[in-house]
Amino acid sequence: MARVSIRIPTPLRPFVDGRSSVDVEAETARGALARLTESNERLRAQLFDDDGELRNFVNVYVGTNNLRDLPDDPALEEGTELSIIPSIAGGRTSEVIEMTGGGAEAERAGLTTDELRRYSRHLLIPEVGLEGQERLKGARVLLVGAGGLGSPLALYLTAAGVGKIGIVDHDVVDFTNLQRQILHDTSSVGTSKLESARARLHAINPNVDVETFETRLDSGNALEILQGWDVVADGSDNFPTRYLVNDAAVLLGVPTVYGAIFRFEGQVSVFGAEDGPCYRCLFREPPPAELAPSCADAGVFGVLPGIVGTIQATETIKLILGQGRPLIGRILLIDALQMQFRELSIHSDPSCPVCGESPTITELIDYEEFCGVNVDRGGSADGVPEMEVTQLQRWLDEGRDFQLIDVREPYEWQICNLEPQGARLTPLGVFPTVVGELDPAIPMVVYCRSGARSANAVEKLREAGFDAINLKGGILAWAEEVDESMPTY
Amino acid sequence: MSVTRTQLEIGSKICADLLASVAQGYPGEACGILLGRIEGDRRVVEGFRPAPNRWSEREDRYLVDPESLRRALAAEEAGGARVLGFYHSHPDAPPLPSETDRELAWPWYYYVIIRVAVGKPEETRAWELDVDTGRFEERPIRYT
Repeated sequence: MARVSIRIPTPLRPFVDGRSSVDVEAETARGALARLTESNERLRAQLFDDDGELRNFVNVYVGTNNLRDLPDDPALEEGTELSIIPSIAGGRTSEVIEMTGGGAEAERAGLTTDELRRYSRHLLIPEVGLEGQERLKGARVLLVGAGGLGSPLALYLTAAGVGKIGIVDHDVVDFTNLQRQILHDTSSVGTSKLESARARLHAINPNVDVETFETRLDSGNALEILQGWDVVADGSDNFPTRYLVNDAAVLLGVPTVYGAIFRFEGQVSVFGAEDGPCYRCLFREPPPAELAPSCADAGVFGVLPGIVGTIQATETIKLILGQGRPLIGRILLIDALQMQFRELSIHSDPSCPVCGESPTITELIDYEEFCGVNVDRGGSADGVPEMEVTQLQRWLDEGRDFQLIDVREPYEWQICNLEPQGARLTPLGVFPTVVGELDPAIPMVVYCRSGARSANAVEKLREAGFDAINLKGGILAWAEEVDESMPTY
Repeated sequence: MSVTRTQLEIGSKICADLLASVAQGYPGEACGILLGRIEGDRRVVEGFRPAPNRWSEREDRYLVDPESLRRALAAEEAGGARVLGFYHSHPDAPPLPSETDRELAWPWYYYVIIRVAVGKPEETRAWELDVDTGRFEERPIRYT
């Protein structure tokens, strides 16, 4: 028997009461290791595998010689020093990491080395990690609209590595969009929003597959377009589309991340998730069309869709990851002017016509009619007389006796108006109080921005006995056809 | 509850030398030993020793030459610099521990990974194996 000492590396010292070396009596090197670990199961598991072989990542040195290079089990002399030397190894993974299992909503897809690098800050978060990032890559998200809400949605979902993004839109980029629709830029004015979006998204992340649907979403195509996506993010700006998206997504069983904006106020929720309410549970019927102005009619604070759309993107990613508490059964109300976020609980309605216990809506309906909207928003209400701007010009030239009424809001009046032509500002809201000042005997021409609000006003004025005529196309038509120097909005 | 996290400290001169040394190994994986002292929660790097990469079969693996490590540990035992951990490069890959790194990792030591992109050292991060979870935890690096 020889008395030898075994040097213990720092990581193994917790197994030997913190000592840096342990003395044992043994005849051979393997005998010494056996003595060291005979009453120390945990240490033995560190050094030997189940077959009693020294583990690959452990080297044992006898003096300055690696035990692996020595005859089978060398005899030891008194005072020999044995050292346990960790084997330090590793390496990057150059292959694509294999797909492992499927996700709740989305399939997981393997990541390339480039993607591991790109998403490294996500990979570090336990809630995302490799599994979550693979889930994102396997996910398919459809965006309805490439406008104010669609912009941050598309940008962040693309940057985050959602594998496939579909976008439905039929508009071209308008100069007035640029104040908030950050997916597009000045150079893309006049071009298709989808072309502009595709180029921008590809520049951000070429790994993302962008599929575009250049069409107006309607009852005839919605089920086909919405089919097969994991999540639908609704960035539409009107009620008919909102109800259409809700109903189609409920019928297909796809959750919808809803967002809506009005001036400084926004709403976000997740509808149509399993056991969660849908849009119709909350809003059974749309508001009257005249109370549902579009951004073009009502204006919108440019940053607001950025806030709301970014929250929608957050909820979309959470649904894909299956992490956190999504906005299911809750609606977030945002007031950017007061900078207040409020939350209301919403519940599934058992009598909901689309997701309730006995649904009455089992296929898509006519949503324009349901929302009481004229397809041609620039046109007139049914049976309302209207005139072209050129005819108005003639009336003015001829010096006819008529009243010219502007039913827009004061801030719109400030941008442009027909005051030199004798127009009088009478916003819709103050109509009841000033209507008595108007002379029913003199014809009146009524205008707004595009002719929609004024058509409703004309209808009511005629019911009240006035000889009212709507100006077709509103002041925008005047600016286009009569006075090109007039600023528009 | 405050969590005490240990950190790695490295001087700018040593760090620059380390990065230059690692970049020389590109496109292969360079590796070596981090030496220094321990002060409370801080591990202060005072030097490093490049080690031959003994994993010769593949370019995307490393194995620190056992003899180099034996000498470093013997010197530590004799009162020399502490072996604080190890470094290796990830050529054209993020400085995140790979599955291989994790499987072969030892507790307590710091594993510093340096991303070398097209021959240029770009990003350095430090990791320590958490024995309870079997996962790597990141350790902050303080450049002094």
